[in-house]
This record gives sequence, C-alpha cells and structure tokens, in this order.
Amino acid sequence: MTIQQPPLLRIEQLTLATDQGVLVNRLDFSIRHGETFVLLGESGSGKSMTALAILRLLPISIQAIHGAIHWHGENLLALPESRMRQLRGGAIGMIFQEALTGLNPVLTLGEQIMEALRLHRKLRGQPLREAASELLHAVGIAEPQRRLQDYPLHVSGGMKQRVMIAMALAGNPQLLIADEPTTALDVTVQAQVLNLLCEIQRQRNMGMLLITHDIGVAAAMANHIGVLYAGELMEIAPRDRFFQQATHPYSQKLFAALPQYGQLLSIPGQVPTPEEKTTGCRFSSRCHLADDICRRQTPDWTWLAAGHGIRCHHPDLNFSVHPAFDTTLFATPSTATTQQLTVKNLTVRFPVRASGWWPATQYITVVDDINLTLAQRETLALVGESGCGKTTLGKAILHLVSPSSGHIELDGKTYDARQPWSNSQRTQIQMVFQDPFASLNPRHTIRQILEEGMLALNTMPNDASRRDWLKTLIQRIGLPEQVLARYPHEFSGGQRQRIAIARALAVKPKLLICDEPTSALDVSVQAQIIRLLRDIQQDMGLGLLFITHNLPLAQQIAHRTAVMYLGRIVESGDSQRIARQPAHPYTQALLSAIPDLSRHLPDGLAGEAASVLHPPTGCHFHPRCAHADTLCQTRYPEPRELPDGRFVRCHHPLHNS
Amino acid sequence: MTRWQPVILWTDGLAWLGIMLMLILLFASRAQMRAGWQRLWQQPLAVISMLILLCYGSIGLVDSLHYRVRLPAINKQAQYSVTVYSVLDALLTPLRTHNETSYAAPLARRAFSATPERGAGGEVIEVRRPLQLGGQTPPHARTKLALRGALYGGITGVGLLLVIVSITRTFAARTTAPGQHVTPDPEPKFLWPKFPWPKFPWPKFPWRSFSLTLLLLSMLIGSTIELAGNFHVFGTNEIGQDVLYDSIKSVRTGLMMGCLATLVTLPLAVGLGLAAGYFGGWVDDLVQYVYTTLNAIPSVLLIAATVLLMQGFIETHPAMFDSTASRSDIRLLFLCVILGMTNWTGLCRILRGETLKLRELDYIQAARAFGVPSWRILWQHLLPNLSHLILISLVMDFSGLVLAEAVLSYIGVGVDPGMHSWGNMINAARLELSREPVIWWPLMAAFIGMFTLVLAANLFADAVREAFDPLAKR
Repeated sequence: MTIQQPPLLRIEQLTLATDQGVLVNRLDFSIRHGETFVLLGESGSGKSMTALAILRLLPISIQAIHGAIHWHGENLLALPESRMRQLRGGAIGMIFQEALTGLNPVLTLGEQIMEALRLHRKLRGQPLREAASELLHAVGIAEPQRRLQDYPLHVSGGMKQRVMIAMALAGNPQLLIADEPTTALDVTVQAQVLNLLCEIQRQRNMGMLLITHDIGVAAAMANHIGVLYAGELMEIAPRDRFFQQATHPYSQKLFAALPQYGQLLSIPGQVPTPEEKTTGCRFSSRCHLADDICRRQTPDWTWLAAGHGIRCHHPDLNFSVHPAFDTTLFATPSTATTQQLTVKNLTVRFPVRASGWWPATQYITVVDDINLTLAQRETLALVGESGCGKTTLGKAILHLVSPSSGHIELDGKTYDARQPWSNSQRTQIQMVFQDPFASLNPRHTIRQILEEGMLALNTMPNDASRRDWLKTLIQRIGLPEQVLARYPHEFSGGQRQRIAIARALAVKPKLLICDEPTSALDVSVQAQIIRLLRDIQQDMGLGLLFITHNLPLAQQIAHRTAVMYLGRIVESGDSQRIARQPAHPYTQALLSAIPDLSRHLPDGLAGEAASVLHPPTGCHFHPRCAHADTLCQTRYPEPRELPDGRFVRCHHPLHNS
Repeated sequence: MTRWQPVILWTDGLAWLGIMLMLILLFASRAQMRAGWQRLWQQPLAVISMLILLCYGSIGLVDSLHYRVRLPAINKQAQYSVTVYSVLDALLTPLRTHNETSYAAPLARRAFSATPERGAGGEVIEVRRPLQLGGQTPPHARTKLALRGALYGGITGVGLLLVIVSITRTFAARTTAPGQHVTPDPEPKFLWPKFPWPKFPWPKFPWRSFSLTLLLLSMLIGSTIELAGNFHVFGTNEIGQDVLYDSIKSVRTGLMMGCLATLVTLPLAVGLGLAAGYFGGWVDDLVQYVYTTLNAIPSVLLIAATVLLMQGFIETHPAMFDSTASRSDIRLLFLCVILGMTNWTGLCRILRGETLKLRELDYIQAARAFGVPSWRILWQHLLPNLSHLILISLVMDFSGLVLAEAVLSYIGVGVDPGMHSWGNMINAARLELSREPVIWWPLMAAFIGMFTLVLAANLFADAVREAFDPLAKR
C-alpha cells in the first residue's frame, strides 16, 4: 500500500562504540508512517542505545558514532544541536521505561504537560490549558481538568505512564519512540497501555519504534520486528511472517525458551558483553548449529522474502527447536501426600504510622487470613500482581516479617506464627530472593556466602564434611569448584541466582520459598534457573513455594496454583484446571491480559488494583469486575469448593466461561 | 639509674594506641578493601599526599615520645627535672637552645630591631646587633649551604628509594613464591615477580611520582637542616625563639586534634548509627533525638564551656599535674574529646541512612532467615559494606579538625596558651601584623605548616573517595 512512500526514519549502518567495545554494530532498519517497528532484544543487546542515538541523547562514554539516521532528508547525526532540540519532544516523541522517575515529583501533571505544549506548539493562556486537558482525555484519563492539578504522587503507575504518553504526544510527533513502556507495569495494566498506544498510533498515523524484551508485546504491537542480539540485528521480518516462520536460530530458541509459547528450552551460556571481542557471528558461542565459518566470519544478510532477512550462515539448515525433552517439567506427579507445611489463618498487619512514642492507630492488612498447604515434592505457585502481598506472605512464613496472627504447621508440629523461630525450624524452610544482585553480600566470597547458614544453624559442625558438601553443592548448581574463592561481582545474574539457590540448599531444607527467582533475569537465562530448580526438587524431594507474577510460568511448572488479590487467595487448585477454565473473574482477566502470539491485542482489565490502605467493601475485586452485583459490593465471598476440587472466593464463579 | 625517665602523657598513649588500632583495623579488613587500596595506590596524587602526610605523621609520633632528664641527686634520692622533653626536642636541640633576644627575620644575620649602643665616640647610636645564630656566618653562605643540603638530601633520597624498591621487590616476590597457592586476583598484574633487579615491582604503582616526591622532599629537608644549623630559617618570634622550631612542634598538636577527635567520633558515630538504622523503633528514635538536640546547641558554646571548666579544674587541683606539659596535655585531650563529641552527628546520620537502606537488602534478609544473630549481621554484613563511607568521611573530617584547632586557639578556647600550636602562632600574629614594619614570618610559617598538611589531607581524602566509593566512576 505505502511501499513507494519513502520511510519516515531510516537507520543506516549505525555503529556505537565506547573505548571498551562495540555496543551496537551496523544496524539497518527503517520505520514507515503509521507503522510500528519492534526492536526485540535481551538486556545488553543495545536496544535502548539505539533509541537514544536517534534522539542524540547518548551518554558521553559513547565515543564513536558511525552511520546515518535519515529523517526527512536530513541526517540526524549531523544536525546542529539547536535543530535537534526542536525535534526532541516535537516531531520525535519518547516514552521512557520508568514512569515513576520520568515525571518530576514537585510539579503538577498539568505544569509538566503544558511545558511541552508551550515549547513545541507555542500555546499560551486558555488554549494551552484546553490543549493539555484534551491530551489527558486522549490518553484515557477521566476528569482531565481535575487531574491537571494533581501531583505525580497522587496517581497510580499506569496513570503516570498515560501522562508520559500525553507528554510525548504534546509536540504532535510523527515518530514515537517507546522504550519498554510497559515493563514496570502489571500485566492487566500493561494491556490497557498497549491498547492505548495502538489506538493513538492509528488515529495519528504515527510511526512508532517500540523497544521490548517481551515477544508477547512484540506480537501484539508490531508491523515489523527486528531481533537484536549483542548489538547486532539477527533477523528482521514482517510480523506475521516472523511468528509463522522465524528462521534465525536465536529467534527460534527465544520462542522455545518462553513459558507461554514454548517449553522453557534453556539456551546455554549468556549474552556476550561488549568488551568480549568476538569474531564471526555474535550468537555462535551459544548456537548448536555453529561451525567454523560461523566463528570466523560475520554473516551477511540473507533475504528469504520481501522484508524478511536473517544474518546467519545457515539459513537453509532445518533446525528443530523441539529436541527430545519432557514438556511436563515440574508436573511430575507428587509421590508423597504428607503435608510438609500447612499455613493456617496467617495474617500480617503493618501499622500505618511506622514509629513514634504513641501506639499506631491504623493498620493495613497486607496478608489476610491465608491458608495453604504444601507437600513434599510438590510445587505450589503463588500468583499475583505487584502489591498483592505474595512476597510478604513468603517472608511471613519464614518470619522475616512478623505475622500478626495464625499458625504454621511444620513437619507435623503446630507453631504459633507469632513466636520467634527456632533454629530447627529455620533448617527446614529457606528462601531464594528475587534480585540476585542484592541477595549476595558483595564483600563476602562465595564460600563465606554458602557457609553462613551452615555456621549459623550449626548443621554441619565438622569442617571436613562441610567442605565436601560445599564442593558437591557448587557442582550441583553447575559451577566449578574454584568459584568458592571469588566475589559475587565476578558473576552474571544467572550465575548469581544459582549461587543464591545453593546458599538456601546448603542447610538441606525440606521446603524452598522462591520469590520471583527469574523475574530479574533474561528469558534465555530464566529457563536455565527453572530447570535447575526442577532437578534439585527431584533430587532432594523439596517442596517448592514459587512466588511469581507470571501466570503462564506458574502453569508450566506448578502442580497447584494459588491466585492472590489484595492479600487474599481468590482461587486455588490444580494448575492445569485453572489454566483451562479459570473460575474467578480476576484469574480470567490475568489470563486474557497476557499478550499471545495469535491475537493482535490482549484484553485489558479496567482500573488498577485497589490500595490496601482503603480496600473496597465487599469483594475486593468488585470495582474491576464485569459481573459484580450488589451482593459483591456488600459481602466478601467465603471460599467455596468447586466440583473439580478447586477453591474459589467468588459469588459467581465460572461466570462467562 | 638511667639518665632519663620516660613520661607517657595521656595524648601520647592514646596516639600510639590509635595507631595500633588503625593498623589492626586495616589488617582485619584487608581482604574486603583490597580492591579499593589497589585503586588508591594507582593514583599519583594519593601517593604524593600520603608521602607528605607520612612526614607529618613521623614528626608527630617522634614528638609523642616524652621523657624527663635526671638531675643531680639530692640526699641520694633520684631527682627528675620538672620540664618534660620529647625525642623531637632532643633532635632539634640546636633550634630549641639558640634563642635570640627578640624578632629576627628569616635567614637574617642581624636582629630585626635596633638597640641603643654607645658608639666609638661615646655617642648613643641605634645598632642592629648580629644574631647569635647567623651573625658570624658570611653573607654569601646561604646559597652554598642550601645547595649543599639539597645535594646531601638528594643522595639520601636516592638511597632511600633504592632501599624501598628492594624491600618491595622481595615482598612482591615472596607473595608469589613458587609452590605457594595464588588466589585468582582481580588484578593479577599487581603482583609482578618476573622483573630483574633495576625494574620496579608493582607496575601500576605510580613510581615516577613517588620517586620525584621522595627526592624533592629529601632535598628540601636536607637544605633546611643545613641552613637551620647556621640561620633561623623562619626567623624568630617576639621572645627570640626559633619560629621553625615552633611550627614543627605545632605539628603534633594539629595531628592530635585531628586523630584523637576522630578516635572519639568513630565509636559514637558507628555504634549509634548502625544501631539506629538496624534496630529501628525506639533505639532509632532515641539516637535521632540525641543528635538532633546536640546539633541544636552551638558547638563553640559547648567547647568554650568545657574548656573553661577544665581550666578551672586544673587550677584548683594543681597536685594532680606534676608538670606544665601534663597540664596542657590534659587540656588538649579534653579539647579533642569535646570536639569529637560535637562532631559525630554527621557521620552517624549518614551511617543510619545507609544502614536503613542496606537492612532491607536481600542478603541481610537471607542472613536473618538463617538465624544469624544481630551482632554478627552488624559486624559481618553491614560494617564491611559501610567501611568505605566511614573511611571517606574520617579522612575528610580530619582536615576540618586541624583547622578547628587553629580557630579555637585563635578565639582563646583552644589549647593551652603555652603550648606550641598553629592556632597560638596565628593568635600572636594578630599583634605582629599591626606593627610597622610588619612581622610576617610567624604567620607565614604557621600558614605553610597548616596549609601543606590540610591540602595533603584533602587530596588524600579525595583519592580515598575516588578509590573506595562504589558509585564513583571506574
């Protein structure tokens, strides 16, 4: 249709380098009017650097910039700074990843939007205010007049991202650059923002450069997709063709690594850093097809169809991403039926006034009357959006946060949850934390880190046997023995997470609480960690409480799933059943909000999670629920058992499904 | 019977104790700080300023070894002099004993002011008398002396350099002796055993800056020593004392002020800051109330009150102090203590905030999940991760404390007026500067002494911050 029209933006042989190494190497792509180009890549692939290069906002450490960025017949890299300032926020708008830090907290939303309008549209007075409220209206914010007076702290994360979009639109941009616009948002809110971006793009016929690490988001938004790996484009293709027949081994493995769409295939190794000077194909070190020519020579573009090219020496090699591999993963039937852990009526309340001479008067209930059980060799996934209390629940079980009431039954003995823990209890449950960069003390060697628990709990007083166990442990997690003398900063995120797992296993616990152990890691590394956890579970007969926000992942790995909303479990039961036929409207919304490869856009869920400070009356979910009636508004539903053995807290379960 | 009796003043004991404590601390934290130290000793400025600080430090330490001389026995009972000398005094005896009657300009041969004298014809004439020291020396001897001193100093410097290089070489070779297990070092090049003799070990160490500074310093010291034997290098003060001696003796006072006040600051700031941040609740409230209250009282007021109290105490209990040195020493000690007491709040606040942040990190949570006791979490997890902050702020505060001594002595609530200190020299210069012609050299000597110390300390603090701050660019 618009093939003849010259592209809006054309990037030609863009190369960015620091004195340490090359960050982006010979990048070529173009964006047309009304079209979304998605740059898909893992962390460190150079995708954000590309966006910053278009706006010429690169950090000073980038010393070499080669190539050209063509924009309406001009080369952006050669323009004077004064002209560039007009373009930034004017004809080229940008949305950043962190909506929380992207807005100035001491200025009202109105002032920040109007600043952009004043600069780029030269509006003053009444028309300025009107234009600002129109913009807010356009990004779907109700009562825009009132919102203009609000400060960023008054509005939620999703709303902030909407305001950021409004600011980017202030200059009537022809090109919108969105750098991971939904990564910091919950999945239901992500769907809203994606829908909004799509709609705005259609209305304004804008070109859009969307940067993401999430194939689902790419599937939902893209017209064209470019796969970036370690600073080089590996494959470039129109959307439909890419999702039907992605050809580059990296693209294929990326698909296979995803829990939603593949079977958590693990890609060995890790993304090479810019400092590592590699000859040949950047992916060759992790590609099982790689041969001599791949390691020697950088592949050139091979064009398979119109607009579909790959950089691979073996475009014709038929490579199967489905090697013989059990797709069941964690879903090995649990052999033991003995309950290792039973949590009864666990409640965690925090005082609103943190400290002071006077007792607190107001409390928020973060974890509300939770019951759950976990058997040996069983995996229970605890799923929920941010702020639902899932991490607090995990920490409360371990007594890292003091519970306010409830009982914990461990190994047949019942304890009052408020009592401090004894060392024998601590040896039974351990935890793996979310952020591997914060969970290892940078000043301790790996040996000190692994030994700490054994020494504190005195599980292995004998020096020699402790040393042997450390060796076994470090080999078990797939690292050489020599690493014991090293410090955490020498390891990558995935390796650190392995060490964190080894630390928890060092005291030979029977239960492991994993708090989002893969959410800080890249997709290709995520699968490695999940598989390690599975193997260890089978070897040691561990019970796993797997806390995650990723419902598809939970379904892949867990026997049972419990969905949490605002401190309560709203649905729990067999993972497969929940996946097939979610009973609670919230579970349904979570499932439908996940971008999937066949449909173009996921369904959003109206509104955002209510604040725990002021929970809604009745069912917590009723303000966002399509099926809510007066009963839902007045009474919180009691748990009821469905015929298939699931528990759900809803007045109208299985509605609409 | 020995000819002398050692005297340990309060500040002497504390200074040596402090040095030992510091060495132990550095040794205990060497593994955690190794990367930082390596980065520090790669900076030329750090090495240069450290050399200068070492010079000051050794003057201060030699001046902290006190003794009393035995007097002729009366009734076969050993008698010791009331005057307390330090080893530095003994080394500088010529400077201490060659007193003039009044002012003399630097390197002068005659007195600064003229005295009336009867001339050959019986008439009264104003004559500038030749000085005891320098009066007999020929006028052109100054340059010769200075050059000769520089030459001697230079030779000594080169010798010193050779000794240092050979010592470090053996050390570097020993740490990587064959058969010994070498742990993989983040910077393995730092240990470099292969080079033959004339090469310097440790290729990342800025040997050029080090050698140049060492050479210049020894040349400067050499020519000063040569000149000081024949002249008053910095002139004399009102009562004819050598100003060079005065300002060298002031080094100890300045250093004591900086170090001892820090010694008082450190446990208060670290202990209370960590406790407030880690335990939170009422401990945090209490600590915060204390330091907010303390901050609300002007520190000069507190210092003045304490010093005046101390003065009163000393005057009413003369029996407790057997010499003037111990009297002024106890006053110095109390000044340090009170300066430390008013100075800990800043570091405490920083440490509390940082602890609040670190406490929530997952590795602390993991340690708590293992039931590691609180004191061990504080000692093993929090303190090592705060050590760079402590080190940086200590080195930065040091120069402030040296300057504080000068200011406090100037306004009269500082050290004992009889003590050698830059503050007292500056205080005296108030009158000297209002004379005509101006007596400028005592002030200049104090200025040079203090300026060099504070500048070196500040540069060193900067280098320390650069090397140890995890946020500073690498």
